[in-house]
Amino acid sequence: MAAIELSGVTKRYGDVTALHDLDLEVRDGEIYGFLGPNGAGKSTTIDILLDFVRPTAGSATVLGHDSHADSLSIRQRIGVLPEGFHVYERLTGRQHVEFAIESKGANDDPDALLERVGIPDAADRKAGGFSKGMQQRLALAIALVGDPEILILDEPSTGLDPNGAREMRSIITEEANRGATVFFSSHILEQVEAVCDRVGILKNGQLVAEDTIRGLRDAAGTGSSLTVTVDELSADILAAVEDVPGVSGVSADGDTLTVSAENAAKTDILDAVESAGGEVEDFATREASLDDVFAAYTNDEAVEA
Amino acid sequence: MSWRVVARRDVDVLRADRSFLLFPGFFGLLAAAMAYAFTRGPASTPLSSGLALLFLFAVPLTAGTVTHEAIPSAVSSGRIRLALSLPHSRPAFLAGTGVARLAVTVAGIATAVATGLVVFAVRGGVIAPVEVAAVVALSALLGAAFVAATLALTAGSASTTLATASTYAFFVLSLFWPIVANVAAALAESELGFDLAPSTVDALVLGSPLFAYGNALGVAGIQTVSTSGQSSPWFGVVVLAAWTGLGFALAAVRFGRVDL
Repeated sequence: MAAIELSGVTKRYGDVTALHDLDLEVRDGEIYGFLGPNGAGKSTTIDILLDFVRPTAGSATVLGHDSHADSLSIRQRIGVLPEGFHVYERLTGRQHVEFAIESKGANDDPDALLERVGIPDAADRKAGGFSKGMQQRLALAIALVGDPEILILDEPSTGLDPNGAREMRSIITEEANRGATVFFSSHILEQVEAVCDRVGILKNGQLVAEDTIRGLRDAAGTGSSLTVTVDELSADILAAVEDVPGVSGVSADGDTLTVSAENAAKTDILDAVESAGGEVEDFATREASLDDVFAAYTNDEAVEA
Repeated sequence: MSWRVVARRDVDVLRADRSFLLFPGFFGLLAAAMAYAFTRGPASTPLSSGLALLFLFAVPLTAGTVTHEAIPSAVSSGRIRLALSLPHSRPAFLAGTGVARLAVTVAGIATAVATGLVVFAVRGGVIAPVEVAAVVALSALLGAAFVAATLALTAGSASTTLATASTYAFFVLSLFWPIVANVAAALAESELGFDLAPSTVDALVLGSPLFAYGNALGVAGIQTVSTSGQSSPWFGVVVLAAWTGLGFALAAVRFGRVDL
């Protein structure tokens, strides 16, 4: 059974279509990263899952329940860190977590949860004085109440310093190891790359790509590049490299060649250089970053996945 | 009973922002002044009448003031996204919000009664316990009616400005409703030839929660609303209960349609 499933979901706000016939499936137990440029529709998708907004067409299910009709039973079993939330300024950190515990009928220890998210000293402080990062950690503590089956995290790293972001990743991994499904949107690509099993990329309300990060790299043709320094670069070497199957681009700078190619072609490229009379002095490979993959899918000249 | 959890949380918030101190404090001061004035002459006015007059204005204004921003502010600030990511239905959230605001109003009523009792007892005024109890119960119902009506007016919007305007406009309209009702009746007669019976106009006037309260006070033997005398005091009680029930139902429908 899919943990989360959207089928033909369209959401319009007046003349603006935020989501267009979106189909999406998050498998049970996986960490799914939801990427997309600003305004792509990521938060709208999450808002539909939480019944904060209703789809214009289509249906969404979470744990097999309809996101609108069975919203209460869904929210009993999931943990949510919503985007654009605000704390109750005059309540303490502990009171916030106690409210969540009472709401879910759970028996968690609020202090233990606050300690887990790194703000044990904030338990008795009013949340109105919290920094954005502390508020984000507090919301994560609330999301963790009751060992949820699914964690839905909308831009969880917002306001977090690098240490906070690393701790967030660690908690996400721990929750996944516990058996929870994690669905999170982020614009911090290295964070997505670090923890996600699969990634979906949303653009203009449509899912333009969905795969593992490796699969996305291969499909986007941004697999890797190979830099080769030879003793003396000649036209023959250049031609030989261009003829290697799997090579999509070659550029030269002095005696250094930069070759865009599939991973499998790297050895053939080095062989081609030597066959053409060149002596390889040095070479290095660079895998495309998720930034490259993201740009390839979200720029106007996006590739077909 | 999810609404109880929301109500407890909101009571904590209202305690933290001193609403439970400020509003009852005002009620206490007003009640002290009222009790002192009403026990000055040789012919003392009963405590129940003084309280009824005080609550006619203080209860609706307090209920409206503590309630009107509750939903719009929660929606516009994003606080509601945190609360409704937890297993609370929208009607339960609304009910908890309303009950917590009603608690502030009732705390004000209780403070006023306590203050009035002390002053009347010290100055030898007339205290009729059963009548006072009836006034308290009816005033709590008036508070519930205004809390529900305010939620109905404000639950569909994220604008606190609009909420403020509509809440106080509703109070003013309720206060001057007999003028509106009588002008409407006169226009119906002169323009449409539609002659409304005095009892119908009375019933129309009692549609205002303020005048329904005044009418309902007849249950405690207090006559504050001058009508043709056809309406039973229990009609006012029914109208207040209807404002409470229908107001909440309308609020739930409007809140249910809001995109958060």
